[in-house]
Amino acid sequence: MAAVGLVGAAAVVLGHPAHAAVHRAGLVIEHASGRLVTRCVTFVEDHISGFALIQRSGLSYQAQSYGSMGQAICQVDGEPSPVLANCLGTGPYWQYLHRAGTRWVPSQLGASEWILHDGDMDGWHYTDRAGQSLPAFTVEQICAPPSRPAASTPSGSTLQPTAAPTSSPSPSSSPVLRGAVPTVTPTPSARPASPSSAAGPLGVLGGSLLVLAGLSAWNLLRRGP
Amino acid sequence: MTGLNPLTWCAWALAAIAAALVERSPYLQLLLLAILLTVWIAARHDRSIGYWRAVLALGLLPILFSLVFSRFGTHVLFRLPKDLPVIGGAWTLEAALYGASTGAALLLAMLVFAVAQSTLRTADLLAVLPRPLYRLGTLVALALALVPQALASLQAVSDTRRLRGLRSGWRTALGLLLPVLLTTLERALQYAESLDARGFGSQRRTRYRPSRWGLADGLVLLGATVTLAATILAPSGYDPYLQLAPTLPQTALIGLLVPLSFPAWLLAASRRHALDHV
Repeated sequence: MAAVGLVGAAAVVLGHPAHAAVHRAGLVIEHASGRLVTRCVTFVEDHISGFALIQRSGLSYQAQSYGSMGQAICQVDGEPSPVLANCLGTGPYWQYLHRAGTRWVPSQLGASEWILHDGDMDGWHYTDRAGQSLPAFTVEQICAPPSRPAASTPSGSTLQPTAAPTSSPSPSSSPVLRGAVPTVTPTPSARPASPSSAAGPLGVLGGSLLVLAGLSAWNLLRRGP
Repeated sequence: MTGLNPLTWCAWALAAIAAALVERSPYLQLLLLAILLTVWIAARHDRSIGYWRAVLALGLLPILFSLVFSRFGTHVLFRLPKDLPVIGGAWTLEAALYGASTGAALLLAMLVFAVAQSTLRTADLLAVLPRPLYRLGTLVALALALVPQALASLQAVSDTRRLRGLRSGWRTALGLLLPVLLTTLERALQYAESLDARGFGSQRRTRYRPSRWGLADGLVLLGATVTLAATILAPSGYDPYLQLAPTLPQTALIGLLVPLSFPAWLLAASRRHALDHV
């Protein structure tokens, strides 16, 4: 039964679409100083969460897990610095907005629960005043159309969606943003070629389970059922 | 005879419970299940988990709770009309998986208790209590032992009444309670007399069979420490709301959980040793 569960889990992990269309979503961030940062994130999945959008944007962030309630965003792009003791504090905080049509609407959900599809856009505004909005943007503006970043996503490694660098209306956003990719990678390739790295964690896990099962069987046979 | 010091088993149980409650990666939970079953098989004394139904319910309850009360997630199983209180809305796979993850943690913790129960005797635990707590501990243990006996005598009195053709209901509670109270008091007096006869509390406590420390204890303690440290320093997480498919844990983390199975190996080795010398 254990083996069946293992195989099933492996199938889920490895069963991601290898050849899928590349989708884009926009991210607009306004600091307390008014500084604007925009990012274009490409993804191969059908949809990603608002939290994944931040993770893949390449911006630095700090989040705190609230269990089934999801993640609370404590810090984005170095603001506030340092991170407040209880993550949210009592003053200004990162307000979460969605681009709906031509306006920004405050989010009713946390970032982990909000789902973005192709062409959607999220906004974050660090302020302590309610009812704040953000400048108008479209995804096309953020994801500069001429340099189609889709070409940079090779079909062989689409398990690892990349956050594509883009230009943006704001001069302050740096074009280099790669990494911070939290998606499933079946084998961590950080290890050099050692005997166990060929098998990876699955091999070690399977081996441990086999050895334990063998010991149990030996114990049962020795003593009788 | 398990051969390990009771304190060693306590340390092992502590590390195992910490791992059971903290490690949330399904892969590690599977490994932990295998480890606990292996140790249980190696150490059991013809005792089965008699309360497995309650344990199973404890594991399934979080799934139900999470499914009913959580409306988050994108993989919708089915929808109920929105105007239904509490249960209305979309029931999601994420909620079920989150509940299952929690339930598995509870099940594993219960399994640790089952192993500890089959390897530790109450008397051994009392013996390792520090002196100021010894008398109090003995009293608590005796009082707890009286509860199932009182329940058993309640059952016996009720059976006797039924054999005599008397109907039992809440009206007859007083007639039931009195004999049960008398039996329990009688038993308590017997306990007190037997404690007195054994010189309980008259002078410093002596031990008929002092617990010893051996190499095996050291190994198990080392394994428990390694696992506990790994559990606290690098806990593995799994949040189905963020990502449905669990990621594989690091190889090192898998390796650091395995020392929890040391008792099984040592018990198997000592048993073979004993068999060789028969």
